[in-house]
Amino acid sequence: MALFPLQDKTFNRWLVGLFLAAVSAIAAFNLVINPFAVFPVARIAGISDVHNMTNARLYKTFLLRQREVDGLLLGSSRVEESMYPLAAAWPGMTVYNMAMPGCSLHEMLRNLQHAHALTPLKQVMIGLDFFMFSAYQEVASDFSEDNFAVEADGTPKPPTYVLRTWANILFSADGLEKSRDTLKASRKRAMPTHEDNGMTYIPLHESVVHDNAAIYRIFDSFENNYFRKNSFWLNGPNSTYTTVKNLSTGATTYDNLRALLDYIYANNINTHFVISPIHVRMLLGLDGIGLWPAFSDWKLQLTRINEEVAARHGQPPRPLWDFTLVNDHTTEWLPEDPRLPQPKKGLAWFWDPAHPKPSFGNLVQEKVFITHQEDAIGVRLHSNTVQAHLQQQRAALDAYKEQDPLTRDAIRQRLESLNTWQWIKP
Amino acid sequence: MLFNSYEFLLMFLPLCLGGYYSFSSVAGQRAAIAWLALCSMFFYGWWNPAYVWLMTASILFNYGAGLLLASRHRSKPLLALAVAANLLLLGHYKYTDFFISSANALAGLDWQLHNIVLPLGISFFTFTQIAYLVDVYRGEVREYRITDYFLFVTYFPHLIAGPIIHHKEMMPQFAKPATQQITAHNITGGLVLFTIGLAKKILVADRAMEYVGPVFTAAEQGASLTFFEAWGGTLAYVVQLYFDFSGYADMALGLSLLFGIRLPLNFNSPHKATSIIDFWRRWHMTLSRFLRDYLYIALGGSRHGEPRRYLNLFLTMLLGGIWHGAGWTFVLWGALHGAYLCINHGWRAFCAGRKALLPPALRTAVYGTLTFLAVVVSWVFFRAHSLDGALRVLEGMAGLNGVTVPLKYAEKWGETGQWLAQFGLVFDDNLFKGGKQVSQILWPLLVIWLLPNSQTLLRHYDVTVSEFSEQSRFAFRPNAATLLLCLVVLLYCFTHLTQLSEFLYFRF
Repeated sequence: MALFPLQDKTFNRWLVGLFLAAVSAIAAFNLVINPFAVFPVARIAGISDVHNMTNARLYKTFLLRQREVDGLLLGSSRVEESMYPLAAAWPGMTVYNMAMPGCSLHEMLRNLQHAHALTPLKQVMIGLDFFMFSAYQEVASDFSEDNFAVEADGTPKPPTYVLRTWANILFSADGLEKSRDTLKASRKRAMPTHEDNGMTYIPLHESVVHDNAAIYRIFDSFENNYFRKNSFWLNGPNSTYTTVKNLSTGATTYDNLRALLDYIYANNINTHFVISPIHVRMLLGLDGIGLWPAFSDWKLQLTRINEEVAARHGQPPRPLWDFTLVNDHTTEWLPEDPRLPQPKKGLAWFWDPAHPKPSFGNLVQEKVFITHQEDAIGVRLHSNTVQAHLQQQRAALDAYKEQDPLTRDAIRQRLESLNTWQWIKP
Repeated sequence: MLFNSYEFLLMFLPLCLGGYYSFSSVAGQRAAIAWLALCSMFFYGWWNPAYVWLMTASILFNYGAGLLLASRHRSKPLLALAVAANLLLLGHYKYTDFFISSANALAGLDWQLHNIVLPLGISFFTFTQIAYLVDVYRGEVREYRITDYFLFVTYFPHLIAGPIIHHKEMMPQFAKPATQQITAHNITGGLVLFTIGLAKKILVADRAMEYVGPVFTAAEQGASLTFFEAWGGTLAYVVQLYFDFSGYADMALGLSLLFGIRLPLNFNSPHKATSIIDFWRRWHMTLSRFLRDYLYIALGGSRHGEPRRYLNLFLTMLLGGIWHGAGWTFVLWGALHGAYLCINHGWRAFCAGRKALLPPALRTAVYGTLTFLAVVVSWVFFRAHSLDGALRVLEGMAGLNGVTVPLKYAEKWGETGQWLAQFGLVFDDNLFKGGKQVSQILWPLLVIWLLPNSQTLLRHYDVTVSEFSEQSRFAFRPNAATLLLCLVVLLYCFTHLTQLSEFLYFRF
């Protein structure tokens, strides 16, 4: 039984004709809306002027092509959500926050190569995170080598390198979906996802943590996500944390750090490294899982490798700051903590346990670029002092656990519910 | 260049196809063949232009050797020399590092690895040409034009991942003027078959892939896999491999049909096989044919008694394993299939003349299940990078590391969960993702087992030069419904090409 039987010739004509018509329509729509802002077309008010940038990787790499950016912020969402470039920290520079959620070391190197190839950089800040050194960190779904102006070995690509990305956007369902979102957002005059400087849009963030209940939900969600197995930290074999990528060669993620450092020192780029601040609840989680020794060793390795590569290039080591300390800011109580005289609204320093606010980002930038003053908020790591610093932080965390049994027990309870309490044995 | 890429679909294919039929109508058949050969070389060079010279040299060498063999009346030393040269080339690119690392491991040496990049498709174009040389020696080849020979080796639909074509089925098609006449019938068959292949790749293989890598990587790194993790990863790989490879084969056949050229069949529902013998008549059929005609028979086949026949069978499969890849896991995979085949032949000999104990339907189910399980176990070696890794996956599949389901089910299953926990079921997060993963594996397996295959669906379109026997009451007919279905599937796949992934058989 056949419904409307067709001759082969008619079938082919309709199939090819309709296919080409549909593909052309999709391409035209995506070109006009320009959802990732990669095509050189004008934005149309109410149609394509509010961009909903969930594909930050694509958007940001292409945006750099349109600006002469000579100050760059790199890192994960910790940097993206907290570092609003301070004018005093980046004097006279065009600064762009090119940090991206879940960014890997390799990605940071590629972003740096890309930016430096487009405009020589005067100053760079790189946020380093513990999860980036997990050998099992997944490559972000929107990461593509096609987006960069240079090959991984530094060879410049011909200007036509953008064609593949353009084709991917013009003809893809992803492009179509984002065009639809852009159109909707533009018509509703919705808030954009990013500030013009690449940082996530602050009012949008504020609308997400609009009340205390939302903050608690977000804390729950982040802690469950970070503390469970097969997530950011415990994603190695048998749900362990490992930096070893290849057992037979012994290659580790520290080799990726070396590659990044080699590029920085070889090109003499003025770079400052920071270990981004996280809330003490995350530190308690790390400790409760049994990852504290790995976390401390990671800081030790960062310090040593930075100095080792600097020495190899005959240069002084670039500054490396640790902001994951136990201090008044990182131990901020949640807004309805029973110990507060009365509930407060929101948090001063954190969006969630894993992401500091711009208020904290400003403190970090002031210390790193302006005052250079070490204190309880941030400390510069040197190989001759790092051991003492790590011991002091261990003691500070132990003291905090004694001081705040409520938070300590809440974290323990959460870890137990996720089967990760003391998961990593000493 | 990948078939599932915009540069291929929007640039290469329209230009190549348009040029082919234009040359055919304006400048004649020879010009069309030359154009297609030129396009095929460009297609190959897109990946790495440097290797175009390697393939050109290989073609010229073999064409010359063929002419010499034909003129010197079956000179055995010349044949041996030519075949050895082909094997040396393949050996250099494919097996040098394997040899060095094995020697290092066995003799405690410290020879440096060369890290040689394997030229795409070298295994395929080497085998194709060895078959040609042997047939020239046997006197089964008439003289071919060099342009035809060039196209025979380089023909882009088959070049990278097969099927392994045979000159006897290709050259006559190139020589026939009717081949270069565009027909609506061929275009319909080609478009529909290509769409089916693309859908297999995009809708199934690439989705199953996400469950495979983490499990096998964890096994390589020493993880103890639990029951569902190991089965989940392995069955996902079975799905990925079949849909990837057969998807590629469908695309190759479909593309070729657009040019009016029919390729041999490479798959005929292999997972419906009820014995290993049957499996190898259905899986990578052109490789099986090559191994049978040019290796098994050359080794003596069944001409020297039963024990020798079994030895020849085993050796053929062992070498077939090594052809797939330079690694001990491939050697073991080949050996395992060699052993399977020997057992299967032995069982058949044992059963011959005896009354069957089971009714036919049950026998089919039991034999089919056993065959599937045996093949699944062998795929573990095929996918793993080391024997240790493979054994760890098999340990998990045997349940030696316990049975674990995701933590979320502890709450969902309530008392039933607690009851199951008494028997050792553990609720914890690991690499097994639960229901979503099960469905991503189960529905493709049901498609494999219950639905007719592509060539059966397109049997009215004569899509292949091979014979096949599967019957079905379903067949593709052009009508409004199939037009809409093809259009939707094609558009869906076309708009989901952004996450390009290579075909698994590119590396062999």
